[in-house]
Amino acid sequence: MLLTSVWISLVASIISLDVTACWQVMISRPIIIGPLIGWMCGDFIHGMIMGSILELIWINTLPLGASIPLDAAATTVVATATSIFLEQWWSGNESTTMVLGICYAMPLGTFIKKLDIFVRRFSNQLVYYADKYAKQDNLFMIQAMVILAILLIVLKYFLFYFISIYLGLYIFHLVVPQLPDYVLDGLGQARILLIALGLAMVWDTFRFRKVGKES
Amino acid sequence: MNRAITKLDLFKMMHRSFYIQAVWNFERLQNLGFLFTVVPMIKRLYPKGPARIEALQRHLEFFNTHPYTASFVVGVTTSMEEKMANQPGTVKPEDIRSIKAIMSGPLAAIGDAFFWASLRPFSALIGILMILTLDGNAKLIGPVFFLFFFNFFGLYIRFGGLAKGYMLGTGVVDILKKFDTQDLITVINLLGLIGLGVLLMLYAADFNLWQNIIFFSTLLMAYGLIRKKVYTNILIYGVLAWGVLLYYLNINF
Repeated sequence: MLLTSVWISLVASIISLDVTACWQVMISRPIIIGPLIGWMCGDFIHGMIMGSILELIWINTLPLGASIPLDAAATTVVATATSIFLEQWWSGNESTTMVLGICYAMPLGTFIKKLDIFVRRFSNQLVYYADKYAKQDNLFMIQAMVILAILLIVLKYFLFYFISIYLGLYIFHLVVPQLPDYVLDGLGQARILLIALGLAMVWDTFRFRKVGKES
Repeated sequence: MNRAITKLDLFKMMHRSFYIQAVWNFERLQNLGFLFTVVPMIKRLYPKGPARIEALQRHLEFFNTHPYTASFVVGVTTSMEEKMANQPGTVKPEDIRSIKAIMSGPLAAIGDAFFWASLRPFSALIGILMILTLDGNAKLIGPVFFLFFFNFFGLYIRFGGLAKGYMLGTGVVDILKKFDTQDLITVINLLGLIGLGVLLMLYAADFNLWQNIIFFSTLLMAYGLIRKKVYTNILIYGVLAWGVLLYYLNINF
């Protein structure tokens, strides 16, 4: 489990660069990263379902201008990994483990947005250094600042994923056996309602509106 | 002495433009990313010295646009810098500054409205439709379709934008003026609504009457709350609490 967690955190943190920092070829969207993490944890279809549900719910997250978008990738990775690990020791139904994973990962998606603000403040510092190196005509160090920024983002994600997955398993060990059956079964049954919510999001995305006018 | 940008330089810049948002910062946004992108151009045009320092500082100024359509600006800037380095006096540094500023706003608007708000949700929706309708390992076609369909357009604009921007120089502005994505977005949104309709019918056909009532009433309630701009996190927990309550009241679906 330790080795798998390190491996997952490492791969996921590199893919998470795709959210805003690098490439932006959409490999960080839930529909891609969900099945991938599922496959790495040994349950590809589980990851595919998680990815689809979360993709529906966050189908319209816009990384517009200076605003920091909600990190759908972070939520998907944590929710998928923790729910598959939960399934390995707990004998409840699969639908319930999925919903528990989502319940746990949700606030963390907001938390990593806050972490992002720190990274972007630090990037201000890197730009000041770049100004200095520009005056010295030092192209090598200017480019080194870019690489440093990328490494910093990977490090941020790696620590976040590794700690979140471990903390999640610990919390599940404590909480899940204590929950009454009607809550667990009710949550499992409520998975279909999350899809209803996701489809409402799709409706909101494609409803007729004036182009160029947000909201 | 004529210093010309080579095809290899353009290709290197294309590759580097994928990192344009790597050092995104609150003060000057994509400035360092832009400079990182045009490093091959600076190396080619300016030998070490005051002119190069000036060029470096010029491209460390505020810059922000959509990461895909930024390639147009990179292309135009490269062609103008090339002119300025080879025929001093024809292009002033101020011209380069202002063309970057003039182009980045409208390009950001096009990129956000077309790629982020329209094409990506549409590609994802079709991918999910495939996941739902296909069985077993064939479900894999859904995510693969999403990735290839969306990136076909994205990479086309990234490669094409840089090449067109470099070849046409400031002339590319006239082309972009004529370029109207509004109709395209309307069509994609309409197709998206049709896709949503198909998805809803697939679900409705699978459910019994009672399940349909709960599913569609939840959907309508959620839609109303989304329009009221309730936070997504609250909606998710709310929907789950609603599900647990129904189960507690012995309403199974």
